[in-house]
Amino acid sequence: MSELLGKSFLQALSNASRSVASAESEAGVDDAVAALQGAVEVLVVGAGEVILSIVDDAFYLDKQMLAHASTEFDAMLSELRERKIDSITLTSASTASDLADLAALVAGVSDDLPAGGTIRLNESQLRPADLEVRPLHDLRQPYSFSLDTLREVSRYGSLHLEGVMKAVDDLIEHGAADASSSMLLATVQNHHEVTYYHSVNVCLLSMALGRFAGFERDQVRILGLAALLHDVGRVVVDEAALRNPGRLGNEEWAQVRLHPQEGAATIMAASGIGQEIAAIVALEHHIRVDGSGYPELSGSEPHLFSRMVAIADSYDAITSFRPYRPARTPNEALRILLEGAGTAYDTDLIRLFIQMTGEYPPGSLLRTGDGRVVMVTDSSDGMCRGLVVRSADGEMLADPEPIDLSDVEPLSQVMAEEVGVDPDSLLESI
Amino acid sequence: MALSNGSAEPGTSSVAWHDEQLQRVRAVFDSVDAAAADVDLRAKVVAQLPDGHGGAILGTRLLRDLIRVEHRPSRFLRLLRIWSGKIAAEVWAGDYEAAGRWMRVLTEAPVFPEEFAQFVAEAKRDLSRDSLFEELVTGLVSADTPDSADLLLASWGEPLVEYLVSQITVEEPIVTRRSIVDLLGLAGRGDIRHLTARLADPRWFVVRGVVTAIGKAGRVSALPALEAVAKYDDDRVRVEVLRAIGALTPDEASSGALKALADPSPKVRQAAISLLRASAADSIVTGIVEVLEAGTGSSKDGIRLVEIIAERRGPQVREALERLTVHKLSGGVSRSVRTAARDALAGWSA
Repeated sequence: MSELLGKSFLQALSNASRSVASAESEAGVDDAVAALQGAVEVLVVGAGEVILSIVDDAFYLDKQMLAHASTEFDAMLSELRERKIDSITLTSASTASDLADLAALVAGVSDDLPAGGTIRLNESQLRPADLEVRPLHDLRQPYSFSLDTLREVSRYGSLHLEGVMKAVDDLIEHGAADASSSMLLATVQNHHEVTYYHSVNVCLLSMALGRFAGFERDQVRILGLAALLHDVGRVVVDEAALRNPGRLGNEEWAQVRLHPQEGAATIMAASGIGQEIAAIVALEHHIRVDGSGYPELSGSEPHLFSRMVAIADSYDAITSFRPYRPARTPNEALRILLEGAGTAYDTDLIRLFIQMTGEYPPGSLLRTGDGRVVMVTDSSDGMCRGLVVRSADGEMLADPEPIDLSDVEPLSQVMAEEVGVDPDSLLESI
Repeated sequence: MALSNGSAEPGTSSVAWHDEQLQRVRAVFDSVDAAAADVDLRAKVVAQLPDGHGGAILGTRLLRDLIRVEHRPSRFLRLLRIWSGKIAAEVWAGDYEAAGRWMRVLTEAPVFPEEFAQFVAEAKRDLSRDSLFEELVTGLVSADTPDSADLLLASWGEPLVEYLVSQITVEEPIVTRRSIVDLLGLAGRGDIRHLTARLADPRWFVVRGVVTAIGKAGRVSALPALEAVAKYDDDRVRVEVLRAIGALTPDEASSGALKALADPSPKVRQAAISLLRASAADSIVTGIVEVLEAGTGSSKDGIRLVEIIAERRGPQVREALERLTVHKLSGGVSRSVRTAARDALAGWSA
């Protein structure tokens, strides 16, 4: 599972660079660098050295694209590209000191690595023809573009709807309205940019639901725009608060409860196609169909798009890690949505959402009766297909085997950490 | 493929599904399956899609909601900037109907806290800049459908009235004075007091313009204010007062017109005669006869009044004309009126 190891390395490098950038205590930096060194040792074992390449806008481990990791570590990818770094060669001899320098380079604290070190930059250049491209790669690029769009909103504190609509159009152009692809890609998370990733995921899920309901392209566009901006009030205001470990205090919670109106006002201050509906969705996405929720508005039930986005919003939030609670399985998320049908959520839309996802949404991990672990990759058209990632005797499969789950039973849903697999890395195999 | 209860597997830590929850999920899945063959669910959702023309209406509803829930002064001010920006943008775009809808977000049944009223007043004043009014007025006069601006003009109120009145006073207004007065009438519809307060202006031509505008505004509540200037020194004002009252209360206008027949100004009397001629009420016949018998007005006026009687076909017309032919030793109608009445009687048929 070199993809998993590649992702672990990127995660460790990201942690170490943040540790350096935030001027943590020496011990904190040392711990982060030690973890990075551990990730490198595991990565290079048996190979002597590995090359992490940056080509176009994706990471490659040797020739294999790390599509999901490229999305998750999109900011680091951009940083390395800006510094004209095409490849990083890591060896079993890579020292803690050199890795600390690498972390400083990624953090922007230094401009280069010392010559003659155990880590080499730009030594190897891959040609696009040499690369293995994953099917999800097409959708990954507009995903990154959408993230950049939201980062710009945060950076400048203002919104250009034309740019956001361009991001939505790119997502649609590259297949975002397809339910399975969207649900697979929407499993990407990033603990440091929770709102950005969540917003793009909700956009993907909402557009898939709209398409599944039979919406025309123009309607899907507006729905996508509204979904991408539904939490723009958080992007503008309180991204930092969301990273706080533990539950929010009263004051923080009161601040968070203002994000719908902050978002709606931010959207209304801009101008462009779909502005009004996007602002309404931003304002209403925490209002339940029974009229409760926040903010407290008098009057009619939430707009159709608000009700759709509310479902996608909850689904992604439930299946994502938060500092104050673990992620839950897609199937658990469906159960929670079902419990809220008719009170929190629109019953018809919940039914439609479940029709779209199937019993086991793409990205779900299942255990078969004979003990194999399967990741669902496609549950459209009444079919359910997946990849066997762990054999009945508990062995992780280097090359996951396709399986048609339609006739396999019984199935139970499991959490990723329970079976020691990383769904994001598994998605690299698709 | 069946949904299994993970907790049934001893020794595993798969997600636990309580029986009750499982039954509920199954029930919903069953209903989903039942609906799968039924396109109604999708059709039902698609039927709720916005029609694509309601954007501005949704926007105004949304802004009103935001204003209702916003209690932070700095954020409220931001909403006011959004509000004024929307109105200005629609005026520049020539969409006066949409501009009117945005205007009414704050002017119709206000939902903001009382302590923010001053902010709103300031925002409205800031919005009411001459450059925007100039764009509005010139745009409206050249527009194909100026009626679409009714809501906007009525909601804008005092600042717009002030601007339009100032245009009456300048030597070269941006559009014709007639157009200015027309717009002034529309601007006064929201609150006629914005216009009636201007009747105290010392300039007769301003008062005349405002009186005309009041007549166009169509608010009967302005009658007392009009009656208060019915004896204005300048007869050009008195003429307009007569017309304005006639426009506001057509049924009762005749009594004012009958009184105005005694006005020393021929212009006023002429206006009164025109009003009487336009009146559909047969009851004016008796009133005219009484005026003629009182001998007020000129012979020319008297002849015109007889013509007005003769133009009618009611049962009292013959009786009235016959009454006017009678010569009385003291007082009564003039000879010219008697002659006119006799001529009319000869040619009259019910």
